[in-house]
Amino acid sequence: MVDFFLDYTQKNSCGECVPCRIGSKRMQEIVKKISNGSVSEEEISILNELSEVIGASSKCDLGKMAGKAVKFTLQYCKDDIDAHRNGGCGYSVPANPGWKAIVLK
Amino acid sequence: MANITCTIDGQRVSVPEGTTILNAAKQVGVKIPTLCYLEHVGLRHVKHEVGECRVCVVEVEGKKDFVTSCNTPVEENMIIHTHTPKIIAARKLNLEMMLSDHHLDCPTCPKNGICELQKLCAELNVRQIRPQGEKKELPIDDSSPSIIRDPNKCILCQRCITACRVLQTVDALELYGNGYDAVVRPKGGLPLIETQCVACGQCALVCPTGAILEKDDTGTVWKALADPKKHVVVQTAPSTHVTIGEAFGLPVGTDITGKMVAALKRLGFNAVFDTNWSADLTIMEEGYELIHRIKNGGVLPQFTSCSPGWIKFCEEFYPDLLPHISSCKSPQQMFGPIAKTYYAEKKGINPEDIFVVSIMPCTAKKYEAARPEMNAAATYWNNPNITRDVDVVLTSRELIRMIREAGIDFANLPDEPYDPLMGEGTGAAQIFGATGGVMEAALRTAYEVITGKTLPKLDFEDVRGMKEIKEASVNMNGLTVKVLVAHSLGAARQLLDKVRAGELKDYHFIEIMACPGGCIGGGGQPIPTTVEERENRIKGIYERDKKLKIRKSHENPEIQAIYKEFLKEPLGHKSHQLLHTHYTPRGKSN
Repeated sequence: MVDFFLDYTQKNSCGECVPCRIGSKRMQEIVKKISNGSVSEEEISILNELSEVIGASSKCDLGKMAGKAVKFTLQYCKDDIDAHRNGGCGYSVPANPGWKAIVLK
Repeated sequence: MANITCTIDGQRVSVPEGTTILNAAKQVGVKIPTLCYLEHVGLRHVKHEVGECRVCVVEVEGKKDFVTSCNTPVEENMIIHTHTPKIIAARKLNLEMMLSDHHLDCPTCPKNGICELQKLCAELNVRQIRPQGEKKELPIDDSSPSIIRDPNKCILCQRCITACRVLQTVDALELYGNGYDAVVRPKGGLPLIETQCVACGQCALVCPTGAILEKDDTGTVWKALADPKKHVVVQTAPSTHVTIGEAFGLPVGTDITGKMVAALKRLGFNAVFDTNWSADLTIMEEGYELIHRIKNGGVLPQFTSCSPGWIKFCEEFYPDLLPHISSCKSPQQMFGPIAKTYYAEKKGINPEDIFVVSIMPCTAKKYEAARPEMNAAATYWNNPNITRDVDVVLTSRELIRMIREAGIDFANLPDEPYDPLMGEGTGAAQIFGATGGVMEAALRTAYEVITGKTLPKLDFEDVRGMKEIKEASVNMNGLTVKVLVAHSLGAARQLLDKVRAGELKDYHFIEIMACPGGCIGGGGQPIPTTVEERENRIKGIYERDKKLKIRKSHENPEIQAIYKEFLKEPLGHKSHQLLHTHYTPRGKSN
């Protein structure tokens, strides 16, 4: 979901400020590495710093949201991240749980 | 205006309402680093404070996120912290982000040593680039003979856009795209040469990195200098006389004419001449043209034609006003054909072997020299083997680089004189380098030619200085000649709109210079070229004018000689052949 949101950020960023323009791209690159299990401890720490700085110093709320979304993910979804790093994804919710069917019921 | 009191790093400060945090901090001796911010873009009122780089962020108590100091006004009782560990870390990481997408070829970058990004990284102690990832590989745009764009080095600070859109009103650049793919590019993504760019180079002056710079032609000149068959002559523009020294540690505005001549001789030029000489020639032709237009009911007001950026601007945006422009070529383009005709004849040199180099403050001069119609010498001799009138144009910055390459100790050079025949220049020509100068020089000559009397006071102070639009009127034998002066194309546009609306019919002469401050603020001048530097260089120009023995163009003995021996009379047959030109309507509607 974070990857998806960073994609959204990239597509909608006006490109004017550095944290949003370049920072969200760098964050996304690391998030993708988390997903495919190739991320290093150092990269997680950079991601932490990036999310903090981008969340506080972007020009508008779009960049700030991108930073904060990653920051909260790192804070609250640690288990999920660890699971990815260990090669599995035990805790995650399937991408499409079939909302349509649930709502229609 | 009410004053506002706030606290910056523990110090209380009271500033007028609307003052930014950055300026308030300056008052208590706190320097907040900035990168994209530029206080004055060419002129004092053109500001650039978009808050793009996020380097100047500070912490304000009670606010969750950081704020940029360059464009946030202080509020009553604000408590501001400018260098907490969090802020310092954020600044550095912002720079690291920027560098993670930067081509780090600093040692070979033409901006090496004067790059603001480089300087800031040193200042802020950036020692590593931790975030790593994709780097942009965008094509370099070298379509223009004047300006090269390397978008890979662009940090999207948008200073160039402000210079182009707000200062010059040319609007040839735009920010395009979203997110990481955003770029600053010529309008519509076209190569620069196909846009309405006038090549003034103001974008290059404000670019903090090596993303926009002049096209480097030093290699061609080195090659010509090494060719024994070539007779290489060089001319130096009025404004270079007071600017080259800056790069060698001399105070801004120092008169280095003698040293520059010595340096050029050491570089191996066969003859060193002065564009001041052809500026005097321009005054003779342009002054007589004005008198001719006034006497014969020609198109008035007459516009000056010395600034090639301005010429392109008029061709692009005001093609209907082209008949107002004087048909005289600029001093640079008057020098070229004369060197390949008069000088060649006098010295018995085959004009095919003469190679003309110009030292100019201007990037648009490269474009001007490349215009297809600028080959009068070849037409004069009816010899297609003669190359174009001016072979290579070097900006002040390129000459500075050549002097450095040759290992010349510029600051300690002895003064040397120009070569005779085309080397004598008057004070009138010298002031061509500053805004209002061409006008003042023209008035000095026109007054004496029309009235037959000696001018009681040479200095026309009304047309001097950094005020955008200046006005003067001079009584000449009952005729009140009214003149206007504008510098920067934004100011020119204001005047041109009035001319188009028919509001300036009772004016006779309008001087327009594309660059703020005139040529001393040209796009090829040493970097930085700030408003302060422009003012100091202007001071240097008028000091040199005062020092010179001859201060009126028509009193220049070498100019008198060329009319006697070669041209015969201003606006004569040969003058028309070699010194006058025509213009081409361009722009979207043409």
